[in-house]
Amino acid sequence: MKTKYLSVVIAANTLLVSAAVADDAVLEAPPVAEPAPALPSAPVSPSVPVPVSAAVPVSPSVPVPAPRAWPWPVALEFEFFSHGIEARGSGVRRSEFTVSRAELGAGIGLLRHTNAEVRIEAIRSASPLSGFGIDGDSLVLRVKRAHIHSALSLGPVTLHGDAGLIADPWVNGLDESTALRAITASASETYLFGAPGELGFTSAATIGPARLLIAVGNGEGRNFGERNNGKNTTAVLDATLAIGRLRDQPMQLWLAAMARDGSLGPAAARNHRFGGAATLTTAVGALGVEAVRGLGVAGRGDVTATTGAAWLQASIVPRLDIVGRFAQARFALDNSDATGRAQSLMAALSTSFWSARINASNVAGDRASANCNARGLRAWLSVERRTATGIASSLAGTDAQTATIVMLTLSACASVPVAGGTL
Amino acid sequence: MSVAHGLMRATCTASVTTKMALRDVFVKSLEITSLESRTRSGLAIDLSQSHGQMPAMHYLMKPTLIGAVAAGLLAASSCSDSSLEPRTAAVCNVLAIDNQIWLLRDPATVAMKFHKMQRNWYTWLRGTAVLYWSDATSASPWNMPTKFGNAAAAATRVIGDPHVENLGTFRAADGTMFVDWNDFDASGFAPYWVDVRRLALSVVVAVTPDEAALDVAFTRAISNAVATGYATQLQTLAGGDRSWFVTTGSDPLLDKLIDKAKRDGDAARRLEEVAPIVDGVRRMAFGEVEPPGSDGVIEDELVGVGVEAAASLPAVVAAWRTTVQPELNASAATIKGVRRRLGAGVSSYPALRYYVLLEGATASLDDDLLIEVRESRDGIAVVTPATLPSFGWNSNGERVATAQRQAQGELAGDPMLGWAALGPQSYRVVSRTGYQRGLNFDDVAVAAKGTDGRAAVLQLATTMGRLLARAHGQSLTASGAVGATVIAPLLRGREMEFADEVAAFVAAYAPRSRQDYRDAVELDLMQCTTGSFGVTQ
Repeated sequence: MKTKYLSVVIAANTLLVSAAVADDAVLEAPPVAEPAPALPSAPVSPSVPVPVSAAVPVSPSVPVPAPRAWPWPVALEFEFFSHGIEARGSGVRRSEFTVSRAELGAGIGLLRHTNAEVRIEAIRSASPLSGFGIDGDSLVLRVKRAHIHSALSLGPVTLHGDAGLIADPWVNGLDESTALRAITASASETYLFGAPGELGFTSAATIGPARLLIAVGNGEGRNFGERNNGKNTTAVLDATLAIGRLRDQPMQLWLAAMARDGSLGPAAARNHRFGGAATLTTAVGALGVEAVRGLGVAGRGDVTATTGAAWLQASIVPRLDIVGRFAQARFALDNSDATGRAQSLMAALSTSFWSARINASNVAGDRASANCNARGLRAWLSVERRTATGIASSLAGTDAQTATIVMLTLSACASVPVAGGTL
Repeated sequence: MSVAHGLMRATCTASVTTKMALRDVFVKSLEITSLESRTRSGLAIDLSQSHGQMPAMHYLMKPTLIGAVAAGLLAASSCSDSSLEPRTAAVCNVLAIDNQIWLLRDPATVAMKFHKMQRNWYTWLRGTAVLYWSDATSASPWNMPTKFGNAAAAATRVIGDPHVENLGTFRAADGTMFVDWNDFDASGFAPYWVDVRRLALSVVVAVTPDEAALDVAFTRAISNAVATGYATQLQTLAGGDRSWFVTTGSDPLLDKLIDKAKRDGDAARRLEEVAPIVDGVRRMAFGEVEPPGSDGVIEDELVGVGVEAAASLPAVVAAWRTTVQPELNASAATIKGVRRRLGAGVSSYPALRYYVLLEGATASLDDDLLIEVRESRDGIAVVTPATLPSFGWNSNGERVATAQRQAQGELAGDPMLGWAALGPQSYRVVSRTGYQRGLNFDDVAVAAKGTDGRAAVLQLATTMGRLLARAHGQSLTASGAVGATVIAPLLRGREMEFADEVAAFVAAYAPRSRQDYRDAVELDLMQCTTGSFGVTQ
């Protein structure tokens, strides 16, 4: 049981973990005499050796001060996305290589049932059309998430709490359930949510496959301190259901519903959301849908929008996947006839150069790897057609925002357990 | 929409009493009992301000720790949006973002900026270029489609804030006095037609008294004049003729401006005013150049510089002199004095501005140079098409200075124009002489009331349209094409249709802008841009 300890504490509040965390056995405390909790049960690969240095006893008779055992198990995760873009539209073209995203996360087991996650991301320091970055437009590191998680089992119910710089529960849930994260953000994040995290806390209760989560944040994302008295309050109700097997592999259906009361900016413009999503995962592929209604968008209380997306991923031959997605957002204004529509149609091929197959229990037990849904080294070749019309376009009346974007993406994602060791 | 919105509103309204009771329980459980403690807590302030009568539940419940925590969680989940009208909230949020850096660094000066913006409709327009671009290019009724655009023309090098008071005089190297745009702070790559619309709007605002009804016919005539002047001049530029510029004799209203500027320049009035010769030595003055306004807003004042600025300005000047064309030698750039200038501008009112007195070519006092070093920040922000790069300059100072050079072309009006960067701070540098004089919107407004005043205004509007075309047409677009070659084909033979489109926009947006101004006069803009938490330094 002790070998599962880290798995539990790092499991945290991910959707997939609910069944594993509900297992009373894994919630047992490690023996007091143990100098440190043992490592997770090799979440990357069963062949990964378990370091044993933390378990080496220190003799009290040794006259020199003994090295202190590193008491907290750690797992690291690294993600890196590099893009080569060729965009053409309306007689203009752009060709660009860019590092679009790089993230480094660490999950740290602290106490029984308590762990921490720290996640750093690299971003360009200047916003679009801005010269006000750091040393031009340098890549800089910033904290994406930093929060403490604790879980408490009460019979069939498990309670979870997170506090700190937390992930947006809705956007995070969609990210974890989609196979497209390396090449595009969810439609919810792209059109309606903005920064996928903020300072706040979450409380969740899981029972069986279902979870009810309430998150309260300051409503300002990561870019600002608190600017108004209102809070973002998000409720997510979801469930992961086993619905049979396909080719000897389990099929999972994730269903989710969400509602948010929120405000944005010092003037506290309304920022409310209602939505739903579903994802079906099988041995041969996955498909998903999402739909969100937004009342108030980007600090504009009079703007309403509805966004939806449907995506499909299928393994056609070993190591080769095809992906397709259609996303759309329709915008409207209160007391006005003005409307607009933004749309994205994407198709992609994906192949893995190296991947570590993991079984469900290990995924469930590894909080740090929860986002690593394209584990290993992969290449993606995607084609996306973007259009924007009406008030959804900054260039209304023109086809200037119609573009075809060919993108070659390399994504690397790895989750590495780091054992105790000594200080 | 209405069902979801109604559900949200109903839920929010019905739960207020319960939430406040729970909030009270939470506060009591934390033993926040003194009024002093409450006033330090936004939570407690809400209780005292919004609900003077405590719910009975407060006296009946004995909070436990778990109960208190649960109450806290629920209480926090209140309906969070404000009672401001959506438009007002949007305006406040845009102003907050626009002034974010200055609000944190120098809130007192930002407060003066807001007071200045509240003086009249024209100063409101001047202070809200970012709001204008937000309205014209994002989800709003004023994001009105154009029939004259494409991706390349959507990345024209625009001025960003072309308006009546951003016109001013210059003196070319050969002594020719001319009029051109003098403020490129907001410049960037953006749709040219949005720039044209803003210029037309500014002329309408300049000649419309705050309380008067909009003159629909005159508004349309002004818009038509700006747009046809613009479209016609672009065809000339596309044909390769770059000879037109505005000098004495081009426009009666501008002739007066040129005459005054020439007199001031010949008398070296600006230099003598800021750095008079005292006992055979040129010394920098300090104090009020103009007295503060009746609203307490500083108009034009010179003060000493802080230790930090005094230490950094030599490095700024050293960096700047290498960007001047031709490069200024080091001895000519020897610093003889510095002052901080307060009160200039509207949109850039809180920006750091320094007057720096330099030695000039010789040790003689007659060729001393006065330059203005001004902090540069981001220009306009527009969602760029995927086909265009989102970044194109090493610094904001470089963006502003190179925009002016491209727009003025061969007729360079300022030999000291350059830029400098020091750490994260970026500066644009210009010379300051009496030859530079800005057009005042009051002069235009007064002219509009005189005999043949409307004709004079329409002629000025045409001239301004042509000047904007000159700036766009001579500059390079984001993809490196000459602006005139990109824009002219879109307008050729359709000039009147373009004019109608510009006029339709101005007719729709001018009432919105004026209503925004009237609403803003009633607001505490500092409160609405800093929210419930004020500003900390």
